[in-house]
Amino acid sequence: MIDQITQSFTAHRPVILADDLLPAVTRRERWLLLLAGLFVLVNQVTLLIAQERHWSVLLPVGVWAGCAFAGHRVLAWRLPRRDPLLFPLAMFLVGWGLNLITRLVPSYSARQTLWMVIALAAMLGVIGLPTDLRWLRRYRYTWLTGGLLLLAITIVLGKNPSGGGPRLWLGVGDVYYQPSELLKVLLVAFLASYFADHQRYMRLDTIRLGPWQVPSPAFLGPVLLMWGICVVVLVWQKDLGTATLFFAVFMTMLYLASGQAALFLGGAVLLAMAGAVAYVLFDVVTLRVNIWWNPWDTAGSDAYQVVQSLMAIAAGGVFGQGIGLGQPTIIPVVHSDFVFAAIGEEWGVVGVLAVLVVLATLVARGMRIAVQARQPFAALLAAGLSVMLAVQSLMIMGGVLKLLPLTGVTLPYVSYGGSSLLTSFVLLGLLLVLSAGLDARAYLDRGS
Amino acid sequence: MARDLNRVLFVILIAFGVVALSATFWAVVEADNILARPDNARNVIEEQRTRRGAILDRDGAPLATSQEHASGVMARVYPVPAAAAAVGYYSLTYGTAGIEAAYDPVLRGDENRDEWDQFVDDALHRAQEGSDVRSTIDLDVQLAAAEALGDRSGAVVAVHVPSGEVLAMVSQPGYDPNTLDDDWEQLTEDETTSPLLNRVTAGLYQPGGALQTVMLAAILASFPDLGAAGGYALNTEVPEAHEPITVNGLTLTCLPGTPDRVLTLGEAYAYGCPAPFVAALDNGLTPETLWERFQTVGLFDAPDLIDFQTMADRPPDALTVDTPSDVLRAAVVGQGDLTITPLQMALLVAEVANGGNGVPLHLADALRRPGSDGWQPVDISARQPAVLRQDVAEAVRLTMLQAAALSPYVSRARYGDRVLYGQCALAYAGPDATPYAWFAGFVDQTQGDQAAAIVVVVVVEDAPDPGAAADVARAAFAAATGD
Repeated sequence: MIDQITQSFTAHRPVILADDLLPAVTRRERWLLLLAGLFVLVNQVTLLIAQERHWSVLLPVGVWAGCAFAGHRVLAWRLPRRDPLLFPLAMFLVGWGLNLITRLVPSYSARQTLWMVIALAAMLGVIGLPTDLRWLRRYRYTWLTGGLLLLAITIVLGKNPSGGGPRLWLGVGDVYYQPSELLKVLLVAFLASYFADHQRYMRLDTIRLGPWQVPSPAFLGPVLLMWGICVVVLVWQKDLGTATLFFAVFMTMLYLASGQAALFLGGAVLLAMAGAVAYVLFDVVTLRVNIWWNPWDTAGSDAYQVVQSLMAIAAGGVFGQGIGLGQPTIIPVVHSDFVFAAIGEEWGVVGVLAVLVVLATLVARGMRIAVQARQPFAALLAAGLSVMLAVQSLMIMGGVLKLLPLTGVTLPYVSYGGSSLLTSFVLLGLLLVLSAGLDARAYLDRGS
Repeated sequence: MARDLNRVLFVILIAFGVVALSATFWAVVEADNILARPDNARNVIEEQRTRRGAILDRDGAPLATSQEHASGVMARVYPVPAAAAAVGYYSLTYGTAGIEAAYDPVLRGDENRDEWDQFVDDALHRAQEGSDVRSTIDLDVQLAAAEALGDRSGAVVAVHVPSGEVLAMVSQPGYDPNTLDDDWEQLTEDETTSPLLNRVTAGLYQPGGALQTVMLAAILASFPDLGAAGGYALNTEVPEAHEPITVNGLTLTCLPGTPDRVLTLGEAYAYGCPAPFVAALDNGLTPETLWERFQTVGLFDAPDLIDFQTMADRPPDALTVDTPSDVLRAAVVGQGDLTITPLQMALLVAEVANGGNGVPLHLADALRRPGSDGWQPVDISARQPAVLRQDVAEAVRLTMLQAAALSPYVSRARYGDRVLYGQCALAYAGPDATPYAWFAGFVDQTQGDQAAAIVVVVVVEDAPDPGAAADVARAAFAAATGD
């Protein structure tokens, strides 16, 4: 039954579009982008009126429109067989994010707009590279090591642009980048490449562990080592949110590659144990879990953010207060971790559901790309990236709604933050490339 | 792998569904509870934006207004700090008092709004706008009374009879509502002077000789028909009238200047002699009956001042035949456990002036919706229940008229050619037996066949001069009668 339901999300499109359908793809994407643009424009104009802002707040919308147009044209030329939903949905969320940042922290609006341009350029860069993705698959160790190296440099030279807090950023002048964000994509690519090469053996060469068949340590060893280094480095940096995200994505990809549900369950148990250990070892984890369990006792101090975020959502009700008319700025740093609560206050449950549906659609389309992919690497890469997107969204939305302890990850495409936006667009670029169907050559190519 | 992919997607979609349900829970089911939390700053922000209605005196002079002092943030301004006892205060931190408290829902716009206007304002996120309140305060009387009291401690209340409109309400020491937030610590730490206490509605004073008006009514009520016996009751000479009465180590006598001759009960009242009232207990008035009559005239009930919180004292032990004689004596001369507020006294005198019928005390009589020119009257009960027997009220009234004629202290309240009724008395309070001066009386304001009177009750604390309160009353009468 489950399979039937989800297959309805993933299975009804022909694998390869017939050539005469190609203009339809472009047309649909164009319409969706127009709708998204209308939404972003209406929001910004409403903000202009509601808060009596200067007309220059409309500039980011103009830049957004330019990005949408440029992206659309390049995609139509470069990837005619792409999924027409992915780019408009992402642009919809980015535009909404621009509305939010203009509304919440006007002084950051220009910087976020600039990052949107950079992120779009990065996405087009990914699309411009050979669409067989050999560059990514073949040099997986190089990429991952490079990412880890950047992370290692962060440990030594890291800064925090806002002064205090974890030093997770590398800065050049006024521009800061968070290497752990890029590492997300690189790790998924590494795991997809490694599992794809060893998938056949993983399913055949197994050892008994109690009642379960698990892949031989010979295959799991290297991947566990690389993944372990990532997590250790992240834990060292106390970037525990990203570490948790890596863990969840790793376990899901391992399950997909091996087909062993026991591995997934074992992973969940391990995650719970790691959480328990972290609860004892790290003050920040103790604090976050305590706040999650009972925010009401410390609503004026430690749990202030979470309680205020719930209040913002309550204040929004079903239809919201309207952009610029609520009080979401009561929540400290609302523009990064709590942007979801701001949506709740000003767009109501309706807005929250819209964000959820858009994110879920992005994830479902990504998973469909995985189902329809003809090679394991493409399937695992598409699945890994989609799961990454899903888990990260769920972690921050769950944290804002007190379903989960709060982890400092961003809401993809919406939150303020250049590193996150750049990574999310690289991820989008990869999904677009994968959706267009990989060259047969990629199938023949073995990673090193 | 397709099957596994579908399963993973299924789990993810379930998780998204849980997030959607959770958001709906907080935004719909739990919303009211969480928004009512005191740490919801939205309530304060909304409050700061609210365009609170103005409070005006009876002639339209502003007593409290709202002005925008930063973008979108309203501040309350009180042009007449001397009216604070009536107007009260409005503070984000410390709440409300006075008319600001009594008419809070109207002033802030929660009540008395057109539903459609309300809906449009809510939808457009306009700041809530409240109605104006027209008070019954007469700024001239208020200022005159406050000025006459000066920096002495005490209370003044002036009431129009039969309408029940409160014309003035002064309580000293007071506070400046404009600087309440800054002064709060200082205002609350001083327990002996209690500047925030409204001495008119909640100041529980030792009545002392001022209780004689009540005693007089109680004694007179023992006669079934005063039409026939009133003259006898009031004009029979009381040989022991000058005798000092000792209670709780205090020796109480007639007020200074009492003529050295035999006095009637009416004259004893005029000169504030306690002995005849103590003697009444031996002449047929039982403690139980007396207690019952105290109750009847409302000494144990907080007087009804529409929408206001007022206070009354209720001594733990009723007077009975078993009450020790010294306790009984103290109770009769107003030096016992029972304390009363100036407002209670004012209501009693108003009943005397109104032929024994009660008056509907109130401080506001009309509301004006935002953007409207017309005033809508506040619904005030026209009912005037009989509290005193009419003949008793009439006898007390005539005795007060006689007192105003005889007493050198009461006559100090006389202004112009108005007919004055009243009584002056001293009460002794606290371990040091500090003397408090009382005045309770009224002037006739009858015009044509419209019977009317202005009742004024004054208490001046720490005033050995029995006429000190009458001087203050004179200022109030002068301003109220307006000539």
